[in-house]
Amino acid sequence: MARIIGIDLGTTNSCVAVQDEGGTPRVLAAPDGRRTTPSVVAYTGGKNSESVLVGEKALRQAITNPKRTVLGTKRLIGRKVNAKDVAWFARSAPFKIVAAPNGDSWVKIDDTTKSPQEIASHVLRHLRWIAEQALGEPVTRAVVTVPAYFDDAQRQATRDAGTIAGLDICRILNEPTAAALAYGAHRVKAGRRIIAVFDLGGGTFDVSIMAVENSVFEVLATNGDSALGGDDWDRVLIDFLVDAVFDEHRIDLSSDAVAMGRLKEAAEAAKRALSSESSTTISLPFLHQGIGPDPIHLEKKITRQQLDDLSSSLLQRLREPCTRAMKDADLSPSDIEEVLLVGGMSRLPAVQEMVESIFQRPASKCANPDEVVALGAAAHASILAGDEDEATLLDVTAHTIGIKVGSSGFAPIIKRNSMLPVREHKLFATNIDDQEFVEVEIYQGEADTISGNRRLGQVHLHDLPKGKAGTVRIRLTVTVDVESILRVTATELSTGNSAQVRIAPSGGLSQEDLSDIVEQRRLREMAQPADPE
Amino acid sequence: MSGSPLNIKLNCKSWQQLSAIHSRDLCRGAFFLKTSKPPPLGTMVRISLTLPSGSTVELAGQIHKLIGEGELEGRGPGIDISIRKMPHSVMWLVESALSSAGFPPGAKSEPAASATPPAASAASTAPAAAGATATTPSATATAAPTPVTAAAPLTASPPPLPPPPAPAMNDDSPALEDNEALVSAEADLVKALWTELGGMSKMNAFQLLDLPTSAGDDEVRFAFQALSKKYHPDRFTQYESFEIRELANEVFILLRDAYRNIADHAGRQKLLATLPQAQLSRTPPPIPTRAVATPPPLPSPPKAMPAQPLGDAVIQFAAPNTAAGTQPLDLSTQAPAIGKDDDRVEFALRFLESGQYEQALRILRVEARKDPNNTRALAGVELAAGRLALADGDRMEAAERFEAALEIDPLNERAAREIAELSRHATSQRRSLLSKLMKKV
Repeated sequence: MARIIGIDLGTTNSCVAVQDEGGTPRVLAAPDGRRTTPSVVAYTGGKNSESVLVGEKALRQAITNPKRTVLGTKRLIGRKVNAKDVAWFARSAPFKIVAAPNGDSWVKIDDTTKSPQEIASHVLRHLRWIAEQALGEPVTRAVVTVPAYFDDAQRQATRDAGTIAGLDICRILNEPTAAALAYGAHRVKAGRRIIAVFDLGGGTFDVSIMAVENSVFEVLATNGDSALGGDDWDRVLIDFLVDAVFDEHRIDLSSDAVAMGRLKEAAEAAKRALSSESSTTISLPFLHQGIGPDPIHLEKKITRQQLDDLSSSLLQRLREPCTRAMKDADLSPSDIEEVLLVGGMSRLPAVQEMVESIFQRPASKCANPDEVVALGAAAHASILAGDEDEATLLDVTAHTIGIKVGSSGFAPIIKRNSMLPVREHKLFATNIDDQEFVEVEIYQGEADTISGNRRLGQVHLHDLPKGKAGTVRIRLTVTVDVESILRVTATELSTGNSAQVRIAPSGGLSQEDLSDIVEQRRLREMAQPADPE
Repeated sequence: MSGSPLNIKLNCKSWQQLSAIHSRDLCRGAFFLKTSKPPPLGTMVRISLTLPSGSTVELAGQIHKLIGEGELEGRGPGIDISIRKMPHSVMWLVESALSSAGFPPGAKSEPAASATPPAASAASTAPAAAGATATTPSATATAAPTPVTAAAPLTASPPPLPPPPAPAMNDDSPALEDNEALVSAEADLVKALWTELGGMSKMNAFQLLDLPTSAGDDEVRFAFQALSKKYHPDRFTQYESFEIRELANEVFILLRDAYRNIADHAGRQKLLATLPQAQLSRTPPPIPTRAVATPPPLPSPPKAMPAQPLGDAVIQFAAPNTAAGTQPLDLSTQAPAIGKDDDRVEFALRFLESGQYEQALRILRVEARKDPNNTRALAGVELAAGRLALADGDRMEAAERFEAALEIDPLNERAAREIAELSRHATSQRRSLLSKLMKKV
């Protein structure tokens, strides 16, 4: 049976792992020995001979090719361009983000636009290639992780990226759950333990609270911010440096893509250095040619305290999802027996202090916060393949699912943090006399009105029996399976007439779009059977 | 990892072959392939074995031993492949396929013993390989000729052995005739899940989790955890069948709702409060059968839908804690009261309760013939016949008889109880089938 690989598709770095039958999961290293791959895709070459670089190679040429090097695709995937955080991301991204016809965020490369799904698919293909090199066999199936707080559109868009990459995505798995699985929380046999997984990655933040007992992982609650991560720390540093240059030289670097690229790299390095040192120096000679005769060199000392001050509002944003998750799980910090730190950003001392202040206990650090999610994905892959029959994951819905009522109200039907699969019923009544049909619109989100939530689809029920408003009753049944596929049935109770709709979440690309992309790529590859990288 | 694995496709056309492969190879966690040009030791091998039912199982292993001419009970020359961790699902598929084909996979511990069909020695693999194709990733195919030839001799050199459909042992086995009746193991699983779902959908939360109503928080949680390991949809993603995964979803939704409802004390109390009938059913309601020797003046349910109220009765009686299912508890308490009212039917029913089915049947038949409108006698006949069928192990017949009894006398409590007992038994049987699949008990 072909093996299923586990992929952590990260905002900044990605990782691929596999679990051999009866073994423990292991990371599959690239031929050059690297265990993680930068989630960077660069388009090079001319218009007609476009070629694509992925990973380390793409990252290395990023500074000289900033407008055609795409980083942080995960922040765009399945998102509307007018979302606040997307707009913020667009402001500082060296490449151009544009609106697709349906309002999704796409990336403009020269004269063409690329969907984030297509861009991410290059990373997935690269990871697949790494896995095939390491395993010496073809790989067609994968479990891919996403932040627990991703909504259905973001999940589906990630799945679509896999499809474009020629991978059958067996499951979209939540990152914190994967981390807990890989951390081996279930190998501790002693009774029931409540653990919190705090996962701060390059671009997303998740917190999950779960109970582990008898090798069963029961997610009790999950929360997060799918637009908060290490990049934001970089950005406050970059803004700080840009301001400093402006104050001193009256030059605005933000319009200089090359300078911004160098600043980004330096900010990242400084942030990393400040995880272990109390101060570091950013040194960027010839950053800009300047307005006067002399070029501008940047030499700036940054202390950890400065970074913490700059990022204090970011740090504060970590608190609320944690408290909300605890509240949803009906737990207080004292109930939580262990806090597991995941994600590269959890190395930052200020973040760790924040975690300790929220949960009122020291946190456990993973030996390999960059790999643990991929390892968990691989472990889950072996559950799905039928190789592992101990560990069991009971995951939850991250967002509430409900319907539109009245003109703009939102009536929840399946509450967030419901164990999957789940089915709920709710009775509704008509609101006008002799109403002929109802149109039930299904939304996902936590806002009280539909305008703050995301529309998933609708179901129509016709030929209602005549009756006064409120007397004709309709039972709505909503089922969500472990794949997040939604099924909605509306049944009129007196006649038994019903209508059903199955809503596979849309990631923004239609089925036709997808097959077009896959077909085009196939044609291109036939034309130029380039190296698999 | 020594290069690309060698892929071998085997088409197992007959159940004898599969039986032989099972008893001689799979049971020892290995697989023998006849070949005169063996690939090197240590070669990784992947075998796709197509069962006669059409379903395919995948095995992965490594060549761990080269078998010389005549070795391994005369099966050589060839290669012996040790199967890396035999997947339980594979064994279950093979075994359930075999047993539904009438080959009890039980006699597996004595490989190649006298019981082994003569045809099987190499026929099991050789004809199996008749349609075999060996595929290797192109890179190794030319560099190492062995992989290709590994399977080639299997096809090329017809074994000097009896053709497959000849084995003596199974000639007298009638099971082979009804080949069409064989369903693939996946279909079996679908059936098992349907049955499971049917039984479960009538149960209350305690019954679903198989718990006494006195269970505490921990017990409820443990029960749910154990069931999750068996029934979580993740356990079924390995199957191609969409239906299996849908069914698994449905089954798990029932379990999770049950868990959610009775996970805490308040929830349990609330549910118990809504189950007064279940409580009542322990000490059966005074309405039923024998209280009504005279024409049924009872508020009998509308004729059109007798199944409805009885369906409810089934739920209550199926309560695992009301284990008194087969106990003649009613009689012991009620018999004295109606003791004198001794028409022969009552007498026969007492025989029935005490397990003397044949006597009961004899009397009831006579009574029923005497008065074709005597519903108690008629239902009694069906009941007694059902009990007898059950004693013979014919559950289908028994179920039909009990249902017939209910049809004649929709208020027949005994019949309802028997059906409930049967369906409970069927469920637990399916459960054990499933747990065999899931390895866990």
